[in-house]
Amino acid sequence: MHPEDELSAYLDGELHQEERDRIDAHLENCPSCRSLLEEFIELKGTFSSVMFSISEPDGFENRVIEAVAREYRVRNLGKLWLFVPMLAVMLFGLVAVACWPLAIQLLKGLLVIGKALLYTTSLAVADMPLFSGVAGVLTLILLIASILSLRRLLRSTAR
Amino acid sequence: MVDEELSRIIDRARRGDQEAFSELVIRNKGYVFRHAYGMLGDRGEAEDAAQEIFIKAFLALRNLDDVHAFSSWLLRIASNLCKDKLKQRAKNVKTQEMPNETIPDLYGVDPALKFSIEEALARLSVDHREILLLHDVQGFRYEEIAELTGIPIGTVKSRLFSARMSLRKIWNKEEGN
Repeated sequence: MHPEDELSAYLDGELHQEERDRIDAHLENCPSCRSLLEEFIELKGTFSSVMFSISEPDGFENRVIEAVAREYRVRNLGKLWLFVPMLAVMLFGLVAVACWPLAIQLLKGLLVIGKALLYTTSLAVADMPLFSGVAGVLTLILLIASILSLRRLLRSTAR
Repeated sequence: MVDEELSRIIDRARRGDQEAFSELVIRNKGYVFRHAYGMLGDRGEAEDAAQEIFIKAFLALRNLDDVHAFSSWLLRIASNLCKDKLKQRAKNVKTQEMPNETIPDLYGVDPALKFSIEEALARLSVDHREILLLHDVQGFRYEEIAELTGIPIGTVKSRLFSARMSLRKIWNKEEGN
């Protein structure tokens, strides 16, 4: 019986010593297996040398490095859609702390206006429920669309 | 095996250092491109694929647990991406067989011989192509291939044998023509 399926591993040095010895003994007396092994050796050599002679196109590494850098920029700028509003809130907070007495007055004023607005809104909602509902939904849609377009704008700028 | 310098470069690249990653591209471009070319059989597609492989690797580098396994990790990305592209190609042509592209100009060895072996490679199944490239070109041992591809070592052994038998059969037939 010819150990043909072992010849490939024999050639690659992947057999245990006992198995190697067995194949060596067989090869001594079997011209057909010797011939197959020689073909494998030739095939492996030719295949490797052909593949090793293939090199990447000129300027390939620069194109890859540029593509990676572009991807990196996109990733980083893409995060700005969250960062910009957060920065605005933080700046507002800082200004508020810096001008604390004025901010108190402002907040009091805002509270009064807020209460008045709330009262007016509650009356308006009670009087015109359909109109208020539609207005509320439209406001929400407008808000979401603004956030999404800001995000897209920042991403396209990155590219 | 990875030398200390390479280990440091990989470590820097993992922390987002683009210069370090560029160094990795320079060091690995040849074998990534060769693998993609061997799998896809087309220089243009191989270049696009190799570029995608490096971008994917850059983005996933943080997930690399062991810097010493960088080469096999990169080749795993390369193999998977090429297989996806081949699947996509098969879907596009709506045929069971892989298309045989004309092999573009190559330099170095006898062009007639090159055409034969590359044409023969293109006619092999994807699994056979992959295992031949991983072993005979990239130089991985059976154990490493088993780990990289997720198949048992016995399957690596038998698959490599049948890949060689198929390549021999196709190549001999073409040589006879």
